[in-house]
Amino acid sequence: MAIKFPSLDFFQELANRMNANPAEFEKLGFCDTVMGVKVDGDTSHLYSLTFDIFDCSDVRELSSPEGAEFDFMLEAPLSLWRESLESIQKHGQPEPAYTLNSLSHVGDRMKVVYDDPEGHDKFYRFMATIQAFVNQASDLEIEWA
Amino acid sequence: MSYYGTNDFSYNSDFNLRVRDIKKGNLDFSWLDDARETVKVRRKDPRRGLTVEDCEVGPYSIENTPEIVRENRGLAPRGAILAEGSEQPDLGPSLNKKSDVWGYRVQRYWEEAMSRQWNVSTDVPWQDMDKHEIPDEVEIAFCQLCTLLSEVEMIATDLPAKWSHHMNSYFQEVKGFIATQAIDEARHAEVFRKRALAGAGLFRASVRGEHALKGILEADSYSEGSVFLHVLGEGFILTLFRSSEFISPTPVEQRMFQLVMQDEARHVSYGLQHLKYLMDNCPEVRPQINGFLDEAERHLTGLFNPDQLESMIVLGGKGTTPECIRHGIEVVGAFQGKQIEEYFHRAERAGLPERRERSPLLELQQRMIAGITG
Amino acid sequence: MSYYARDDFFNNPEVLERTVEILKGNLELEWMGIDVERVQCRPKDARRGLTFGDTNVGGYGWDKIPEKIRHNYSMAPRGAQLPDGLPHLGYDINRKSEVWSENAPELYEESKARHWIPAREVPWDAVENLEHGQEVELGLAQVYTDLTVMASLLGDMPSKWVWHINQELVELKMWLCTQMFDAARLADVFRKRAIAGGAGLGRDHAALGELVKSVFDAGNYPCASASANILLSGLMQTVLRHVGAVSTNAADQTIAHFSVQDVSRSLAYGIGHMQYLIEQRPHVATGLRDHLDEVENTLVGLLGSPLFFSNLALLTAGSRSEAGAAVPQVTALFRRFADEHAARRRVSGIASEKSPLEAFVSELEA
Repeated sequence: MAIKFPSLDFFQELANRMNANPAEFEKLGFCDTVMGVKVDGDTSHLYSLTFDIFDCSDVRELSSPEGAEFDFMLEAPLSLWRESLESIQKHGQPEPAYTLNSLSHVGDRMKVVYDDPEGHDKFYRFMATIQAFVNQASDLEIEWA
Repeated sequence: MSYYGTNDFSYNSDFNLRVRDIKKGNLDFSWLDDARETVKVRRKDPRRGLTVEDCEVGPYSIENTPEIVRENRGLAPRGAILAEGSEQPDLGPSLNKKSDVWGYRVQRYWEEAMSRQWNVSTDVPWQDMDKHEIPDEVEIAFCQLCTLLSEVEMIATDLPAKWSHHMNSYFQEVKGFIATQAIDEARHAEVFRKRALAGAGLFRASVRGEHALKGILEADSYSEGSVFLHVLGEGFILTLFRSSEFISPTPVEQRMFQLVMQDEARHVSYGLQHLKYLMDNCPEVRPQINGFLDEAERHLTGLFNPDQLESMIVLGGKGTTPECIRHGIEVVGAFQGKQIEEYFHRAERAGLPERRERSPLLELQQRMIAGITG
Repeated sequence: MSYYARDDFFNNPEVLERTVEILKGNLELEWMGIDVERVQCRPKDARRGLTFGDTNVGGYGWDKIPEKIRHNYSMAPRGAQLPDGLPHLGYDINRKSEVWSENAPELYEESKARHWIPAREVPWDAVENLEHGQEVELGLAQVYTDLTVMASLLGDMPSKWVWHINQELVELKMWLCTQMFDAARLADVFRKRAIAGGAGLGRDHAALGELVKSVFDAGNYPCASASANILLSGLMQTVLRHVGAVSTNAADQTIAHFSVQDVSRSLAYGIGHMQYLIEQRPHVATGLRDHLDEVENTLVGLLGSPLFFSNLALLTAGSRSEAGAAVPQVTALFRRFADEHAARRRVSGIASEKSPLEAFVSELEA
């Protein structure tokens, strides 16, 4: 069954898959961070993802980042999220230009919003886990908003 | 031999009498009666296991350790019952002040490092190298970059090693964390060396870069070495790794950079938290650290050497045609600006906002921009 | 700041000019023409991945490292082109036989492949629900306190020396980094185990302090290596095997089998190092032999100390009241250690005819 992007269900499905796949994520190590995902479009959507040890323990949709204690937030237009996820779906993992790192680094097409540099550095400290989390969408049937 | 034990047991009559007693089964159990504080330790979360923080109770907690450790001159772990003053052999630790080495959250960094180890030999998909065609000029540029990275990474094994054995054993978490750094950085030098040898080979070492490395190694104190290595040097290298993942020719190199980036970010975080702890608890060293950074930042400009800059541009543009070069310059220019900006932000957060004003880095950047536009 | 480079690159107009030219698009790309040996290493066995063994080829391999390194005192990776003007990084161990062992690259790979995580891989629930009595727990807490001290030394020793070693010996330096890391992991797990059992850390005592000081203060690296890697690691291996055998607790057994693996790698390196060194420079055997005899003297002080001996007897017997009867078993344990240690010394080329350890154990047996 197709799953809509962006939606709470989409991120919840990734969280379920992560929690059901301890072998891959335990190998990558502890991941402790609260991150935001913002998808900009006609209507913006904001999600909070809480990573706790080897799991994604909490996924929720927020109406605004105010009050959310994100270590960092990834913010990009829907079209860019779509390109990135399509690259993952095509290759099983993103092409170099579509990794979370590249998108947020070169040309800053994806913004990394943060207050505390340590929170910012958590994005890099847990990069392999966060990328593996998103890569789980490789075989999802996605219905684009 | 530099040290001879205080007793020669071959000719020690007290010892011989003791051995006779032992043989008769007369054993001394007075140590069982030592007064000690019993504690109850439990895992807060079994999935995380038993962490150092779980063991931070009573006499074992760093919170209950004085700023200056005077009583322990040997290798006793924090919280052990110490031998009577003069009885404890002195191993001569010279870093006995908590603010000399400690960083906020170092216990967590230790556990994170233990948990996120990886293996160059098996976690990089070397078997896929022959699946991808890489133009020769791009391969050479990548190997020139690997040469530089293999060269600079080993400084981050030598520096922790230089200071670790001077640290009081009560600071076990810091010693442990910088041991994880030593192995992380050995692994980084390993991955870049192996990648170069799997491809076009090793190219030219960097004279200017090495002067910067010498500046790190010869810092006067651990804190100076740490701020140069962890905050300034590794902060710059972290941004370089981020760019390198983007400009990686194939998924093999992309994976390499994804993995090394994580380790590097952990080291930067420790450096930031050490600097912050130092500024919070020992503000009188601020002029000294600032004076040191004035010179360290000058040293760091050595890392912008022509071979490295040109190879990054070729990689960024994926070739040497004028169009590729133009594109490569855009990529490299963007990351250089980011390196400087992120460094100032970290320094500010650690309590050194004045770096932005007094640093020579911005002046250098402005001179470069003026040169290019003028 | 101790080091000021001769050339202040920051104020060197040529440096700025060259950088500006590059950023304007005027690249020279002269480095692309460097004549480089291409070896194209690939994994011989996909299951092991790309190992250092696979990269020991051509001019890049460790087989080509000369005994006396005269050409490079910088951090340039072995096999790279060395331009004029590379600084001296202060390395003062520049002789291969001073540190090298043929098995070091392989031990480095083994260490990475056998990484374990104390926080998660030890069944700590067994420590939260101890089935043995308080006396045994106090004994275990004491032995883990001793082991923490020994592990700290096993980390401090390579830390003291590795940054003096020439970068051409890079695989060896990396192996010493794994030793620092392995030792930190051991110190972590031993300290946690002592605290988690409830009895807490035991005594730091002078007899053990004397032993670790005599190893730490060794005047040169080969002596430090012989005493830390052969003698101290051998002692730890014996003690850990014994703890694993006498404790009925699953956590202690797990700690023992993981930790024995770690210290056994150091033993393998220590023996390999001595063999390589003595093959290259047979005359140094005398000094090493004397040094080990001296360190054995402090070892005897520890083995015969009231605390160390009585604790092993307590753990062996399972109670203080029956410990006296366990003296023969502890003596047998020391005999096995002395024999194994003597065999290691023999195979390393530094056997002793006046070994204090042998004399002490013989006296115990008499």
